Amino acid sequence: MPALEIAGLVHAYGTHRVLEGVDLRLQPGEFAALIGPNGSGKTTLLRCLAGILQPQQGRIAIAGADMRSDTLAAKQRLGFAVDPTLLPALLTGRQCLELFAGARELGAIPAATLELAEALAFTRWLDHEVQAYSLGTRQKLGILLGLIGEPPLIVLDEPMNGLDPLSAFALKQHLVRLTREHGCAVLLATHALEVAERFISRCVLLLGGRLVQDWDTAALDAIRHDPDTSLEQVMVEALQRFGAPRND
Amino acid sequence: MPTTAAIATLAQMPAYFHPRLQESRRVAANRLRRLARQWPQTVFHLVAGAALLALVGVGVLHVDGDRIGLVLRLLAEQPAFIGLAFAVFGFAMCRNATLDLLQELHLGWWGAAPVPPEATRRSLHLHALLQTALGNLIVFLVLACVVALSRHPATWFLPLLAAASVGFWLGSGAGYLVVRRIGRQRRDKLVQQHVSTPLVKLAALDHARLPHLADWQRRETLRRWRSGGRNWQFLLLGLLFPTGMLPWQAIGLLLLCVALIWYGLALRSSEDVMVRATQLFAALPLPFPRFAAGTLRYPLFAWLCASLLGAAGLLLQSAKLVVVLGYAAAIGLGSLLSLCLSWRYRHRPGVARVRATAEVLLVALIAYQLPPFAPLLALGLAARHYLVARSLA
Repeated sequence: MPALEIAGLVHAYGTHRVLEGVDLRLQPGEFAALIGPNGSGKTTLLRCLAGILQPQQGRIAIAGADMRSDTLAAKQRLGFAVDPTLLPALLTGRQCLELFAGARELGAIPAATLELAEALAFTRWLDHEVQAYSLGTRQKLGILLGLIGEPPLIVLDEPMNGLDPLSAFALKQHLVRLTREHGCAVLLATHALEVAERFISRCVLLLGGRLVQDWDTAALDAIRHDPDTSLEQVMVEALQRFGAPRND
Repeated sequence: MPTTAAIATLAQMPAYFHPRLQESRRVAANRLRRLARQWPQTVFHLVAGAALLALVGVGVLHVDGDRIGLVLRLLAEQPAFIGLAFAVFGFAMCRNATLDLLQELHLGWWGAAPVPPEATRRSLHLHALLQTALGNLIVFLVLACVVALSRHPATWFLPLLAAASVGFWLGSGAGYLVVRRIGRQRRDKLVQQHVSTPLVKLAALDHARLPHLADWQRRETLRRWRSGGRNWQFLLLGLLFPTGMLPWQAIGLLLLCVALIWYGLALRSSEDVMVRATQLFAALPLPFPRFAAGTLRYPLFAWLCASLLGAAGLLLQSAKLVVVLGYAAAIGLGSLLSLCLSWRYRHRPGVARVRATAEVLLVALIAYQLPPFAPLLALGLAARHYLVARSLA
């Protein structure tokens, strides 16, 4: 059973169509990067598959649970990193984690989450209120909330923003471990290809509301082993080939 | 720090309500803990609050309860009108508050969390219910306070309370049902679509070197107006609107009041945009006179509109020309003072508000005692604030 199955997804804001029939399947254990220029619809796609936005057409299934007809089951199988700007300022990090643990029907904050918090150097912030956090510290809490309970599908939107190099490295290693040892699928939307290049097993390019290119593990390995090219260069060429507009 | 056992208990509880309720409880507990930690400050606030409450109590004892009771008795003679006014108020209050909560639950940090839809629905229901009950309790307490101050039998009390309560609950119920209907529609409909393109584009409002600031102020005004930021003033207007007026006089009074309510909102929005623009432009080499010129245009335009509308309203009420001119000059001078203070305290908007209130009251007092000196004082204060604002980096 795929960890994520998206078929014919269409979403528009008013008359502005952002997603034009997106199809995507992620198998358990896959670590996929979703790339695309600004305004290509990455965040809209992620918000649709997290059940925050409801698409006009199409189907989303998380580990077999349909997001429209069985929203609760689908959300139970999904971990979605919380946008740092949406975190409640007056709660401590521990309280946020406890609330999410409760919502996921876990007895307490899982040990794995606390271990990751330690690896991200977040432990000393656990009992401080969110309003005292820096941008990077908020980002860490948002990621921890998304990963709590290690659900079958983990979705992260630009998770490396604001993270120091040590924390970014620890996070990437943790995500790789989740995919390899726990069979979780990870979908990571990013601009910074260099941060994901060594870890991802798949990469999809979203352009004009459609997935226009899909590099599998073999294709990514071939790029990595070619000394005359790099993933970044291949992506840029693909963007130019498909006529990516500059929306930034 | 909550124990693991406490969390385990929480997790075992049936998800009857949305965890947002637990969030609110924990936020309240955090606030209480902080108050206890900062106890000297808390004690000071408690003492100051008690003193203020005592002053208010003394003031309330001097209120003529019989006079208010007479007004309320007249109002109670029109139960349909009272019911309608409270229904409108209840509808706006419940609709806006429930919609805000629904938006937060669906689009905020809980958006992707696995929360049963029934728990969300029950929480919204509870929120609307408690809010309406609280609103009704406030109405009851205010009326009961008037009864306590009144020496005459308050026969108006029960009919007025019944009319207001029935209207309030019906309006709230309707507001809640409207939000439930919106909630069943697509999620992105929750984000209110505001069309804020102006009917007539006034290019003259744009400063040549600092364009679009006026439009920013206008859009902020429009957003607040549409979100019902001044609904309570309209309710007050509805309650205090005198009956038995000639139609054109009623239209005149309505014009005047609506103009004043709108202008108050426009001025406040413009000042808030000034503060945000100051933060936005903090690192830019922007001379203060240019910033002042750029941020003055929309409030000036709003004052002109409010003056014209208000003047029309006053003329419909057969006011003399001198009253009309006095009205325009009074709101103009008050606004100028407030704007100059906003420029001066653009990094500390709270101070600007307090000083604006104090200085406008001072000018009003002078206008009452020594009328010719009031405009001079207002202009002098405004000039002083402008010069200080200009001298700041």
